[in-house]
Amino acid sequence: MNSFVYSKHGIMKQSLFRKAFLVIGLFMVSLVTLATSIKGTIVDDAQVPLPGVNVRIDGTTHGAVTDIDGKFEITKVEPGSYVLDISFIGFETQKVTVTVVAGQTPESFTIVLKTKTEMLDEFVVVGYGVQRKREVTGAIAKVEGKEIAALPVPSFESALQGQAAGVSVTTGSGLAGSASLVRIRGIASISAGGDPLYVVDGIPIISDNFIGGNSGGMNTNPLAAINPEDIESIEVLKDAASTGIYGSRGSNGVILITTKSAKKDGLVINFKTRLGMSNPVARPNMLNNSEYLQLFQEAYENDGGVGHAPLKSSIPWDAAQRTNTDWVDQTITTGFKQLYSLGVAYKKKKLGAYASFSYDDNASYLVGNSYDRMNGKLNVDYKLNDKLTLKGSTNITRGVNHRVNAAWSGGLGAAMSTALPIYPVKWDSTQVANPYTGDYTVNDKGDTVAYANAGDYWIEAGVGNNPTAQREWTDWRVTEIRTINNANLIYAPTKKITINGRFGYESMNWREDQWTSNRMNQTLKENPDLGTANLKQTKLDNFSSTLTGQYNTTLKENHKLGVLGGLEYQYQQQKFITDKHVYNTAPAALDKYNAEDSTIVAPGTNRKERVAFQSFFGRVNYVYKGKYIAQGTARVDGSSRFGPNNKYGFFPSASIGWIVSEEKFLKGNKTLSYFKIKASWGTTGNANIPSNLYKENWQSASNTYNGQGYLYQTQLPNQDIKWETSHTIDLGFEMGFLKDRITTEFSYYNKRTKDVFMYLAVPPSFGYTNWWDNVGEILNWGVEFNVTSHNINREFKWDTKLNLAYNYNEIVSIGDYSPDAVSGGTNDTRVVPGSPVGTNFLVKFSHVDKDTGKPVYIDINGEETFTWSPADRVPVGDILPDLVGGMTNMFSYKKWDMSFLVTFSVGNKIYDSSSKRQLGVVTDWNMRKEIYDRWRKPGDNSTYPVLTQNTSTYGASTPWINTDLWLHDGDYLRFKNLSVGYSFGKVAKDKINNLRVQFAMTNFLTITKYQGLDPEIARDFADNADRNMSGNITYLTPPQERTYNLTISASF
Amino acid sequence: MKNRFLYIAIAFSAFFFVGCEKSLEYKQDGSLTTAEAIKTPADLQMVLNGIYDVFANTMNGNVQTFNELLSDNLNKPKTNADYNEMWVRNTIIFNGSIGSVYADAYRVIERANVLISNVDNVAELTAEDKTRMLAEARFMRAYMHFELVKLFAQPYGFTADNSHPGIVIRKAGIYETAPRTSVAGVYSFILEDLKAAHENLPVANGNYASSDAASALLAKVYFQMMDYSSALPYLNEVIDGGRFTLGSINRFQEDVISPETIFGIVSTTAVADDRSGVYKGNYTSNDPELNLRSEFVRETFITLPDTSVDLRAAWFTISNEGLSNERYILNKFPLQMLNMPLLYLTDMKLLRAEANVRMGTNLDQAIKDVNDIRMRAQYNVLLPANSSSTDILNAVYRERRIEMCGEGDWVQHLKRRGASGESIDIRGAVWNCPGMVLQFPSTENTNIFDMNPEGGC
Repeated sequence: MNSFVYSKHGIMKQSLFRKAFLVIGLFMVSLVTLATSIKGTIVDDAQVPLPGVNVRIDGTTHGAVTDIDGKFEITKVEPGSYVLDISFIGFETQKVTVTVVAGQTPESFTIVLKTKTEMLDEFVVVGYGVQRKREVTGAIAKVEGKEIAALPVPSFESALQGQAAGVSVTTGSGLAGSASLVRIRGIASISAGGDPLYVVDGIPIISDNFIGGNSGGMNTNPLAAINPEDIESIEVLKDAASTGIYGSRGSNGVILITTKSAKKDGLVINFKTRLGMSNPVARPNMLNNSEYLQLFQEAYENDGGVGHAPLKSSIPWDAAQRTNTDWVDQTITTGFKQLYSLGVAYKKKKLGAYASFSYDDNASYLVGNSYDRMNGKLNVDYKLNDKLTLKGSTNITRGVNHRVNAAWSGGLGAAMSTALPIYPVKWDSTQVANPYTGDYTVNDKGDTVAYANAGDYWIEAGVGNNPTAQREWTDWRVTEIRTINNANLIYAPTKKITINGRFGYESMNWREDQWTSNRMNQTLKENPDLGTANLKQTKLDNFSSTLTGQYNTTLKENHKLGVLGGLEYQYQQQKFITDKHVYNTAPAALDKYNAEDSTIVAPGTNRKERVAFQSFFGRVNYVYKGKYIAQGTARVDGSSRFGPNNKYGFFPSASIGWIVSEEKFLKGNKTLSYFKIKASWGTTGNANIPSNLYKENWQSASNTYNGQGYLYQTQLPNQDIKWETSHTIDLGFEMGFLKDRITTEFSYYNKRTKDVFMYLAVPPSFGYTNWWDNVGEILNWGVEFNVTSHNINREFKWDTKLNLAYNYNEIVSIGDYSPDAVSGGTNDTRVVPGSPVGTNFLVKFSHVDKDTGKPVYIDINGEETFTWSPADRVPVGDILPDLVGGMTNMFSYKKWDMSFLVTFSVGNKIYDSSSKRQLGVVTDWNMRKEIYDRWRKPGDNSTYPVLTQNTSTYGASTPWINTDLWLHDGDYLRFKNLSVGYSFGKVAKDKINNLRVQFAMTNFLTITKYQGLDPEIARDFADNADRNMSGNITYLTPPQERTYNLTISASF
Repeated sequence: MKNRFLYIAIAFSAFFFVGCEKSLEYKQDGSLTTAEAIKTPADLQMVLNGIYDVFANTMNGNVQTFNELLSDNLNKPKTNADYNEMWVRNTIIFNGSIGSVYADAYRVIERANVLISNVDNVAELTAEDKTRMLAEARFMRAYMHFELVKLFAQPYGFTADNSHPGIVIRKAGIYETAPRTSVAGVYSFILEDLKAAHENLPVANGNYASSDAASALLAKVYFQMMDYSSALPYLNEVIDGGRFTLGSINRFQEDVISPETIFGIVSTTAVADDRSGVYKGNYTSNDPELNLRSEFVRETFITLPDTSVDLRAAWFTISNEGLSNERYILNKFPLQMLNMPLLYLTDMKLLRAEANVRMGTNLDQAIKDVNDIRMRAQYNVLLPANSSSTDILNAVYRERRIEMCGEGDWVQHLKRRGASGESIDIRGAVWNCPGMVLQFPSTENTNIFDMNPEGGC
């Protein structure tokens, strides 16, 4: 950690101290002084005095800064022993122990600060090992765990946003525990999963977003179960040189997560608590009752209606005029968040241990929605002897998501659509008879009973259009219990050889219980305490075992060689259970999930799916003279997902690097302190598709047609289904300026993905609707740039980190198929050759006809037309941004620090899918206030056409018409995070090493022209194709949350 | 120490390579390969029943309703947007109802093809059963091609040589994108299958296809081709064979199969297997999705609600008579699990009557065939013995339109007549205008497949 410090005036003292500090990488110099001040001079390696160096008594703010001659003096020092913390940009921070003895003459001493060789000594985690950053030939971005944990986000992956070039992260929605859409270097898959591979401490973990399907307007997010506080670092592997070792699963990038372990000798306890509040970044602007009635009546009159328009659910006009429900208010609130996290690290001799416990109650702004996570972790390593080390880790998480309906499923989504302002929440008076039909309700005994009592929820328009009632009558939770366990035996018979055997076991028990009261159902209202429950359960087991051997040697001084060989076997089993229960007795208030109270009425499906991978891999690294680097990797993967024709795939990569700054002509250059050029080529794959596609499948049933059984083939097999493969070229350089005060990286990549998996809508004349085939080819190329700069490094410090990534994406081919062969979203994105993945394929909207108010479209020949036809769809935009990036600025002054993160996205479109009903043909939906800009009379110049309930006025036979009127520029710049902190240093008589208070805000300012709610959005998805193709499509999607957080942390 | 290393290496290697061959072969729950699924003749019989099963999902009123929507019998559908597109003769590639019926029809064809491909894989299958099964499969395959070509292509006779595009023909074991075959090609494929079926089907085959079914369908196909002379022998074979009698006017009944049924779909009450849902759902309620145009009543001169003049008046009710929301409701399909004849004697007799007139051959037989239908309905206006060809034809049209109302029969006869030179107007549209055929689903569209023109008519 810190290097040896030599003081020519000091006396080295072999003391207990030394032993103690050795472990934290600290060598000490003990100085004997006479008086109450400490004096010294700071010089660099060349004995040149360094001005402006911070010298501070460790754990305090008491200190001094060196003058022009490199001299400093810390006055008013009581006798005793102190550790001086000496830091200066471009140099290694050093710690020196000084003893001040009463009555002795202070003697000045000189400290030599060593030039920081950051690039030399920094290690990064790579696949199956670590490498010196200097010798890395691949493109790897590292994000420190503390940067992740500092951000209050729904799930850790969301905090990667804006942190690494080429890593595009779109935080999902405002729902608690919402999943982000993470894409590394563009999108290279269509129907197969396009997400990166997540590897925690060497185990490829489960990150499937479709474990629970798309229920209630939300996908599941298995990553939310990972406690950000436990993360030591995240390495994002981007190019083939770094992902090649993951072979068939490296195509979409790899995210390596390393969890914390004990680092220093002794006991360190960290405690952190965070309290926060959540609000939506934007509020839907729906019409109130009088606005709604005015516009609804206008549409009716435009259609030739006379008198009052008949209102939805037969509500009389006077009642509608009296009722003004703000359903948005009914569904949103201020969410409160609380986090408590305790981490303990202990290290002594052969034993190292890290244990943590955390509780996170993360409520969103949606009424009734929160994600609670309880997490415990233990990492232990023990040196059995000089050669054998045993490591083990276990992590247990219980996540409970208290769900509410959202988006298309109801809740806020209903408030933005079919819950009309003229619908009351509750009946204001008792209704003897049905007020709309005049019918009386008669019970079993023949008595007439009240149709509804005052205070009862009003559900005449269906319970879905009373989000309050629906929420109150639903108990819905998703519970996941997840463990990730790892046992690791490391055997190093000699210094050159390391054998590492690892066994990992991950399990996840995901369970969704949804109980709905009989009150939801008009005909079952008589037994309101009873209800129905649906149980959906998925149990996943994931076993993996890896054996690697690493051999490192140096030949004739100049030749450094590293060889890795390994075997891996992974087996995953997924068990799905879905049952429907009916509760015949009233369940206890809080235990509606107890299956014993219930009868299973619909024993649902119960099936198992198994996947196995078997792999052989190797890597050779060679460094010549510390400046010429070459690396080769290869992996052979076999997967149960493929048939005998293509069971195994071979994935090689090769890369070279040249550290130019080590050459004589650059060595010692004052400006350019570090310069490395690197290039790589490789092939990686993707196998993230369903199992069993290569076999036909049959299904049978008895008592079907004519009372006989039947047997039929359900699936058209594709015996030749094979790996999706990406061929990637990467060129890059890394530079450091002014002793690495400014460091920068630049990369160019070109990735051609072939045999792209497509779940094709085959011509239905095949007799099947879909099948999987390797059809397409996708090109991604781009450039990435990042810079880290220590702008000011005095008492006031200012650091800036900036990253930018440009990506070009194109579907090169889709074989014979039409753009409709793979659909994404709601009929709005398609695969179009020559256009990017996720191209909006829509009919062009031209303008509103001034004379008639009708919408004018552009047909396929470029002519204006009043008729909307899907035959006129053309590619009009794409959802992929051209440029994404982030900038972090960090400031500190004395005990204060401040940082803010700005993220931005340029060049993508957002398809606001729900606006086709909120601003289109008048249906049973409420509308947005923008609709006032509609055509009313000849000559009007308006954005929106004439109001009508007739789809034919809009030239269509359906109100669901997709046009580019709903396609908007999605450029945005967002102040993602702002935090201000104050560190007290040592308090409570030194019992607390550091006490820190921080205030942080997320999403506090967004600059965009987008008129919808939130330009950064990932809706709920139906499947992986949808996830790849419909990133920036919203459909009543809850906007992200803006949070305000107060964090107090202490270390002991 | 060396040993310990060895042990670890061995332990791990063992884990990796135990059953190396099998370690990547997992049988998934619920997965069944062809070899596992089809082992016995009984399995094959189940495969055969699977063809009928999906056939029944297609012909349970779905295909019939689409035809009916294109005809001049119905008013604008109440709410169904997909139906409305058909009714306004402007269907688009995203019409979900068309998409699913189209897919189901080809599923019937595919299941027939799968049976044809696998019939040789069961050693114990008797030659007799094999012949029958193949014949049934080909009958079903032809039936679906015939229904599809009528809905999705302009009719036979639209062009002089029938080179205009028909539909994709699907034979066993070929899964490739394919262009549309010409209408002439499709009809010759249908005839080939049906003739083979006719030759090999048994005379009696329970509720499944018999040789009479093949004759009846062959007659209908030739009729649609305006080849009346080829239709006549098959019509005579079915009608004169004496295996079917007219029975009551109510052909749609629960548990009872009308004696005039040559081939049809059955519902099975014992296992609650109802195959008549679409008819009931569309027509049978006080305010049904589909109701009849007043022109239907006017043009057929059916006297409502007087059953003393014509028993069939009972099929029609008038609600809100004289008001703006007056509806003519077809209640021919009672709310029961109905057996539904598809090929039946009434149709055959009317076909023969028209064929005789067109051929100028046996007018007496034509008059008798028409009068048989009228007498069954206790409709006393019978055709006199020396009726003119025109009178007989008009009588055939009238009886056909009443008898088969709601069953999707009428529009294809209008198209046939249009193709033979009559001036036919269907609710303000010409019989051969673009909107009179349905648009294919979007996913059928490939580089080599020509979609129907859009824009309606």
